[in-house]
Amino acid sequence: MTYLRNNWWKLLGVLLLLYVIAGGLLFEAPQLPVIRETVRNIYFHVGMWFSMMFILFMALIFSLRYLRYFRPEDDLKALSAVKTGLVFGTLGLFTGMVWAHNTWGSFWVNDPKLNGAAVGMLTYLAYMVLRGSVDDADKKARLAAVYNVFAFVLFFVFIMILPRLAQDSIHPGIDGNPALSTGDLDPRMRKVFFPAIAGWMIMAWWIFRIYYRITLLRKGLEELNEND
Amino acid sequence: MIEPGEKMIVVVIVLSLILVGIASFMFYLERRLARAEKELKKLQSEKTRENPEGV
Amino acid sequence: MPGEINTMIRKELTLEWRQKFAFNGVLLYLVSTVFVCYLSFSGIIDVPTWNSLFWVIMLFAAINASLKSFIQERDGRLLYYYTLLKPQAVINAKIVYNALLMTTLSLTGLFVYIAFLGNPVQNPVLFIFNLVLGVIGFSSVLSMVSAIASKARNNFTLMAVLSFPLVLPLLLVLIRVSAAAIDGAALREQAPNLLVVLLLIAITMVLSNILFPYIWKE
Repeated sequence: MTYLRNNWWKLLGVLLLLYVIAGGLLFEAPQLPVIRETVRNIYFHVGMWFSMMFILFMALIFSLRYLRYFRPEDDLKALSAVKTGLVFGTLGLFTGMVWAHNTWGSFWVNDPKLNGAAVGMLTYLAYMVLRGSVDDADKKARLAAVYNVFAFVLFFVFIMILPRLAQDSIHPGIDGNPALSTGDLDPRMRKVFFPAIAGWMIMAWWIFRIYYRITLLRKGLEELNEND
Repeated sequence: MIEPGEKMIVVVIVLSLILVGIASFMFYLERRLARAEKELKKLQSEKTRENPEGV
Repeated sequence: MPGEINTMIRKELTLEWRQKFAFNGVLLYLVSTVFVCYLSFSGIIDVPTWNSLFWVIMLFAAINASLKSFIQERDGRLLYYYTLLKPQAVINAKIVYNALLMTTLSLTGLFVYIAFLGNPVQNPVLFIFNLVLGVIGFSSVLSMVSAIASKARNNFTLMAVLSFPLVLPLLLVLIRVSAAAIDGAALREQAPNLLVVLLLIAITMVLSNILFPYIWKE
């Protein structure tokens, strides 16, 4: 069946996540101080962030492609990817806040990883504002693509720099995540963690594809109606 | 705190149902999308037949 | 040669400076803001606040200054540049001009700030070095963003919205170094952080040179 040949990966994503739900909740997990069973959150919360980074990276690729070939489809792909990335980022933030409240007593702490996440969200929300501020379609696409490239590189540099900064600081009080780094290397968790990341990334891509097709359809309809 | 074990299986089943439900919905959406895309292509080709490109 | 063209544009922009439109505007903003802060804090603020407040004010000043430098161009002028020069020359000149403008403004701003709110800085050399380097960093990021924002509606709001997330990492490093300078840290200690700032400047300049040509045609 050609349907299965083209769409097998979607089924794979669903199966992986079914495994992750079952394994993530039922398999044995390392008992770390304070967080204990909630360490299983890693299979879901971190999946959101990896998916977001992946989709936003694809958005960068689409923007670069737009600047190379100037096809409107690439701009629409970039737009759909950014929107999907924002959704996963928001989910990552909310799941993180719930977990943080349980672990540290507050929804937010002054930690480089969290600040990086916030900056990422702000960057791409700004992308949406930029698109909203330009009326001409070509100009919109070009400005958006240029901003996307500029922003992603800076965002990426930010994520790479911050961990280094945190060690450099003389002043204590930056809440590290000791639990996170020791937890997810644990071999008991590894066999659920990697399938989880793969599964979530597949779902994110699938959602992106659906969103892109809807965007294309809407644009096609608009063009039909405006010419009538 | 409730110990993991028999009770946890309930959570697993619930979450799995939710996942399968959402995935089925997404497959359904794609089928609708395919149909709409076909419609659109038909409408677009009708229009180009009405107004040939040279006009 | 790009070098020659750069100098030529730098001269031309320096001539524009005779109007002192951007300079006076931002200077006035600086003095007013510092004065408001002085009044609201009753002149008593602790050291971390002194540091962060200073940088927030500097950031807003930089955003203002760099956007003004792009909006000022009348439509005909950009077309004129387009016929004469390579886009890289235009954006590099903007960056350099903004950097010079901001250096002057920030040092002036620092004096005003110290006059009203005191001077707890123990290592002034590191502090000023960090300030100048930081302001050059602002200019290299914000010039490109101004170029983008100037082509859309809602310039000033858009400029603020676009700049904050992009400039935040730079800002965090700068605040960290200046906090260290206030506490009397040696320049050598903070060298890695300063190198990070330099790295950011290099990256953004390369990016600006690559990307500006795509948007400079009206």
